[in-house]
Amino acid sequence: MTERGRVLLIEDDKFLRRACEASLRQRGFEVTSAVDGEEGLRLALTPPVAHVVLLDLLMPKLTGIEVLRALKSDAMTATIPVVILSNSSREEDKRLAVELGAAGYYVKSNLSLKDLAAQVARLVAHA
Amino acid sequence: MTGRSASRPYTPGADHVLAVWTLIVLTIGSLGIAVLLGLYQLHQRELDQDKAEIQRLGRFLATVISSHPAWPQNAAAIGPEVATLGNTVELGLSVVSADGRLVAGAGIAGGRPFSIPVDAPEIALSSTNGIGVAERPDADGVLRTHVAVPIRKTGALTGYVVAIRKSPPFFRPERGGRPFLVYLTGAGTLIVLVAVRATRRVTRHADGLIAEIEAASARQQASEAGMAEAQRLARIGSWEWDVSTDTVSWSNEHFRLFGLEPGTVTPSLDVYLQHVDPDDRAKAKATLNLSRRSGGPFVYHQQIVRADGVVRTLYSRGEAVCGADGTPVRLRGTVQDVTEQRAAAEALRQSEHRFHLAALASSEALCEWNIETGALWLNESFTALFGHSVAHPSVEFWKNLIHANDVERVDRSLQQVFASTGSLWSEEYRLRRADGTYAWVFDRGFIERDATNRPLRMIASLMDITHRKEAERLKSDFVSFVSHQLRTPLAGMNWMLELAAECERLPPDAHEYISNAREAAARLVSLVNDLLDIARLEAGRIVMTPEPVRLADATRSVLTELESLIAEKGLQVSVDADHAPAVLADPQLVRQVVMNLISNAIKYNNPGGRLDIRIAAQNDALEWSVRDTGMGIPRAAQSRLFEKFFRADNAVAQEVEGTGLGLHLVRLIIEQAGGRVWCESEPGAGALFAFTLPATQQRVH
Repeated sequence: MTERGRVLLIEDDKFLRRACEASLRQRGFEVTSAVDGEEGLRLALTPPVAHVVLLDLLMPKLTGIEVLRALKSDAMTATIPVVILSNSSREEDKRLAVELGAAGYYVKSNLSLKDLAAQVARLVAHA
Repeated sequence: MTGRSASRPYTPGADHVLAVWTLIVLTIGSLGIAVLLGLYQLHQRELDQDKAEIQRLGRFLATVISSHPAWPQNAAAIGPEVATLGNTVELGLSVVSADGRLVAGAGIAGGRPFSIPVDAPEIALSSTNGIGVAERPDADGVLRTHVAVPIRKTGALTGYVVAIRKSPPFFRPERGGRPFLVYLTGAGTLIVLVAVRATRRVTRHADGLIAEIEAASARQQASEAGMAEAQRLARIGSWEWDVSTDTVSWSNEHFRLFGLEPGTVTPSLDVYLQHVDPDDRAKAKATLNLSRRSGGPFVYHQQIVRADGVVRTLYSRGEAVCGADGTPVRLRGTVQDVTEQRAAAEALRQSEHRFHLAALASSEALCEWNIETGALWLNESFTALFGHSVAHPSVEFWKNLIHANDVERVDRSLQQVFASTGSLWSEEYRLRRADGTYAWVFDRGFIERDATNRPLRMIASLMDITHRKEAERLKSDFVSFVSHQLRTPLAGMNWMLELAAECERLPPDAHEYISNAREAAARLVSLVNDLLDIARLEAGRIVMTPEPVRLADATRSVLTELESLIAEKGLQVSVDADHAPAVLADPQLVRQVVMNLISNAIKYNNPGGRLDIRIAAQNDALEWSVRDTGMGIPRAAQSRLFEKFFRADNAVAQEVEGTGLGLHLVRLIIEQAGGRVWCESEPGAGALFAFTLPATQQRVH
């Protein structure tokens, strides 16, 4: 399968991380994973930069929002589309993420891997 | 012969007798003259006074005529009255109009029917300073005194009364001549003058008396009229009971207070007591009798039944009037209708009592704020709840207790409501307790305003909602707990099952099991979603961001999403949504409502059934409805359909999956957006679900 793009997945839950990695790799993406915000931010700032970042919100060390702010304030990563994978369906959380420059906001339990992959593919194509 | 001379002796006695007689004659003569002169003087005085008397009577008559309603427009109509007046005062009377026409005349002059002098108009018109006196011979050649007096009405001259004195003079001296005997009859004159002075004094005194009587009578008339009017206005009647003759008199208002026309019954103690309510009768009777015996004053209330059957409350007060021996001879008093006052006072007393009890019983702190003076009144619960005990609290005291982060918000909302015409205000804020900790309070105030809309005072209740706030916080914690701790494994299940389903080397059975597991997981996901939405809606935590939404667009979007389910059941769908305006609502939430209702209509429909959606304007609102052709809803279930966790028996029996949360969520959203939701159904013949939302003229972005 050809490499369709580099995806950085920042997710603290083991099962979600594994499922996501498996699904995206099956569809030809190169996936790098981080288990918390701090690691995620470090990997994001380490070249080669990802085409798309998938970011959980509630994580140890650095929260998703903090990571998002950091990514958007660094010239190297500011243009990378960041998709938020959250557990919260609160409008406020969604609004904040979009204001900070998130390219998408999904509630994980309401999202299928198929749809996620399709969204990632779209963002990579536009990047 | 000396004998003759002796026989004719000098009798000095004869000279003496002559002298005596001369003296007697002289004395009698001068006395007679003096008396005559005195009588003449007296008569002259009488004449002068008679003129004055006539003038005075004339003025009186002029006043009477001027106050006659027919005068001067219909002067002829006063004829009979003038006749009566003339006979009464024994004067000849003529009435002359302002332009000198004789309009009436009557009376007796000199004991004979009086003939109107043809020159009365001339006397009237030639009078100077309004009052003229003339001496003219009448038809019999007798010289009579004519006195003309002007008749003024509201200051304007309207005519004259010409009065003629009643008797001719009994003595009249030659003009220009003065009897010389006046010098000889000083004593007579003196007597006459004394007599005249006395007469004058009597006359003057009589004049004063008449004026006094007239004034008093006018005063009394005015005061009687004023009194009657005052009694009518104040609804106060007065009465008097002459104990010795047992006669009772009532004022007109007294009659009216008892529902009687004045004078239609003869007042008596019994008549009064008959009208008194039997419960009060003994008291009234005893009170009056006590005063009658003791001479003391009395005051009491009584209910009366008026002649027309209406029950009123009267307030009686009065006193006894005692005779010379100190025993009461009369009782007099007033009755006042105090029904309304008593009722108002009673209502006020009860309401004050109720408020007092309520303030005592209330677990809420109550506060009255005089906005003008800034003074506060706080009930005991305020002290019990927050620990503060201040003798004369002010509004500053209260504001100082508000948490620094809340005080600005509270102040702003108060200023807003004061500037508006609103009478209700409420706010939640933190209030410092005496021990320094903070309590959450729900403060709800009612504002009283004056006629110019200026706020005067606010009555407020402060409810300690610290526990509720704590529960809300826990609930909110629970919501975030559920969203994170439940959704993470749910997403894990979903995604793993999705990956499993994509595995190609599985036996067919396993594929079916995985598919079933995915369905169950999907139900769990929607259950969690609904629970979270409801928890947040109930806590008021879903922030509505209303904007113009076209229900037709939301409906079509939902139908597209549910396309596969509709096709699976083979349903016919129609949408009737022409020219419907937009509604003002949160687009996400409205879409959820439409989604829930259409999903239900699909889920509970019979295969091959119909699904008719209609959107129509209803006054200021938009009505959205969906009708299905499914099993319908039992009547008993219809009213409970929108309750949380409720599911109709037939839905459960048919094993249609559901959580009992969808319709509850629909109601929460619609009602928060200012709409109404309902259902209509004939069991077995499908159901209609409908809601309304406020329409807007704004354009959809």
